Parts: sequence; structure tokens; C-alpha cells
Amino acid sequence: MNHYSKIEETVLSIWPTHAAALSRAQPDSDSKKKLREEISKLILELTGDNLAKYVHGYHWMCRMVLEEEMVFRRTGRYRLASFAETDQLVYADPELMSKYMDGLLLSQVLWANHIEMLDYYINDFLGTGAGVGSHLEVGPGHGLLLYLAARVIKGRVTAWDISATSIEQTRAALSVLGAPASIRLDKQNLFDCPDDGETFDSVVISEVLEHLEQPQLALHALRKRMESGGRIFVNAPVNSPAIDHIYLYRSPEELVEMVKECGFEVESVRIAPASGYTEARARKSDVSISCGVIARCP
Amino acid sequence: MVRAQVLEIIRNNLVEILDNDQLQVGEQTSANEVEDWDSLNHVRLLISLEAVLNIRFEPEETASAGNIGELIDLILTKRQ
Repeated sequence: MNHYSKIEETVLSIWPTHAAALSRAQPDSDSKKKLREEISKLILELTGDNLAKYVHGYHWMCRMVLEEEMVFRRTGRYRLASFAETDQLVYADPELMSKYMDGLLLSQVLWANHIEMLDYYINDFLGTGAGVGSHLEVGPGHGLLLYLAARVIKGRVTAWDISATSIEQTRAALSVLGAPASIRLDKQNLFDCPDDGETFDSVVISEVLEHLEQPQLALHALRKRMESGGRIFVNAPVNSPAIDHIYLYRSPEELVEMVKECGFEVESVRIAPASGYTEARARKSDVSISCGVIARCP
Repeated sequence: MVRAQVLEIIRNNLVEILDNDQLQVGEQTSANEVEDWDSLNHVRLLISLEAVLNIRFEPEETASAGNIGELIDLILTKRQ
């Protein structure tokens, strides 16, 4: 049995009615199926003998997203609007966060939009231009993107997160995956960095901006930390309610314009609708779309 | 309101949401038999029914009902 099939089989043994959703989430090319298999192998290394626990987290997360979708459809807004509220109700609840992190990890191969964004990251960002110089990821979470970057980048690799708990989770994941020990993981608030002159040639901020009240401030702060000619990978969801999403992008263009307004030159954009949706249908019905932007510092 | 009326309202809302004016459904029809009736579109259906029928669904009711007949049962319970 291949690695993805093992994950799929375990999901369906715990949640049989999810079969139709998984069948809609099939990648649209053989190369993406191969990528899904490679990422599934990494995920199984991370879950070890506890795959079922991660599946329960995934089930919880999917239910949570549907409940938040009800709020979103009724009000046209995300439930929470401030970081302080989210911190109190979500980030400060270790049991909730554990389930959430488990679910997010599995969604990397179970949701078509996440596979699409991984494909974009690996082939269009890491595969063309990254590899030398210094690299920064803000909010590395499950650690997969950071690990994939560290495999190809020869220079200094750093990650920042405001949560010491998250940093430790990322550190543990990197250790399991056998990532180089030289990767630096710092508890660091992007908005409160010491002016030490440290700059980066490539920067990743994936699924972070939607958690901020003013994401443009994060992009401005990163812009100041980047070398001229440096590249940034931005990934944020549009119309994507979740318990900890507070900034609502209503279209991919809103994100692209924000990246431009923060002083970046956009190189390319990738749009990845939720599983089973075409871009046109997703736009028409305000269904979640992952939007990736690769941009360069002039 | 009788079951046939609720069924017609459900059908009309599904036609709009699924963009399929050829849609044929009955009380025995379940979501997994209808193309594109996924969990997200089920939430969209519930929200549209809330507006039309002046009812409110609870978060735990976002899970798809077994079939349309069970959804009609749920709606009629809420309208009592």
C-alpha cells in the first residue's frame, strides 16, 4: 500500500462518509499525485503510530470549518475579528490547538487546494530562484514547508513564530524528518524585531496573513527585511472561514493588490479552489480559494 | 406547511445552489446521489432554507441529513 492510501484508508475507517469528499480532492495531474505521495510519506513519518489521533483532529477541523461556514454565510464575515479574541478562544486552548494542528497536517494531502499550493511552492518558488542565500519562514507550523526549503537551500535557514509552543512543535517535526540541525527557530514577533540589520533572500509566509488584523503591516515588515532581488512566497485563503481566521480576503485580487501595495513586484499567482470546485464556480459562490503569490523585492 | 411544499422549496433552492435546473429529487434522495451536493453546498442549502422558511439550524446540523425526507422531518420539527 502506498503512503497516501494508508492515510486515506485510516480516514475512511474512522469517517466513512468522507469518501465522496476525498474522491473530489484528487490531484489533476500525475505529477501532483506523485507529490501527494511524497508529502504523505513525510506526514506518516510525523504521525508515527498515532495516525488515528491525527485523523480525529482532521475530522474535528472539517466539522469546525463547516460550522464557521454557517456563520460566514449568515453574516458575510468571519466570526472573530481581533487577534486578542482569537488568542483567548483558540491559541490559549492547548487541547483545541493540538487537534487543529493534527488536522491541518493531514489536510496537506487530503485537500486539493493544499496539494496545489505545495506544487506551486516546490516548483515555482523553491525550484526557480531559491537555493542560495538566506531564507526565512514566518509561522512554520507543521514544518513541512521549512523542511522542503532546507533540502534545497544552501544558505542560512531561519523560522520565526510568536508562540514558543509552536516553535517546539516545528522543532520536533524537523527532528523526526531529519532536517539539518542548523535551522534556526526563533520565538520572534515579526512586528517587534530588533533592528540588527539581518536580511533574507527568500521569505515564506504561508497561511499566516489571514490570522492577522492588519496583514499589510506584516508584508511591510518583511519587505524591510529582504534584500533587493529577494523573493517572497505568500499563501493566504480567500473566503475561507475558520475559527482563527480574522482577516477576510474576498477575492484573490485583494491579496495580490496588497502584496503590490507593500512594495513587491508580483512574479506569478496561483489560484487553487477548494476540492471539487473550478475557479469559476468557486468565485461565483464565494467558496474558499487558496491564493499563492510569488513576488520580488525591486 | 405540508411535506410536498417543503420538498419543492428544497428542490428549488438546490437548483439555484447547484446551478442545475434539470435536478430531480425526492424524499429518498441523499446528498451523495446528487452531483456537487457536497458538505459546503449543504451548508449553503441550510442557510438559504433559513431565510425562506424563517427557521434556524444549529451548528451540529451542518452534517448532511441521511436523505431529503429526514431534512424535511427536521424542518417540520423546527416550524412546529
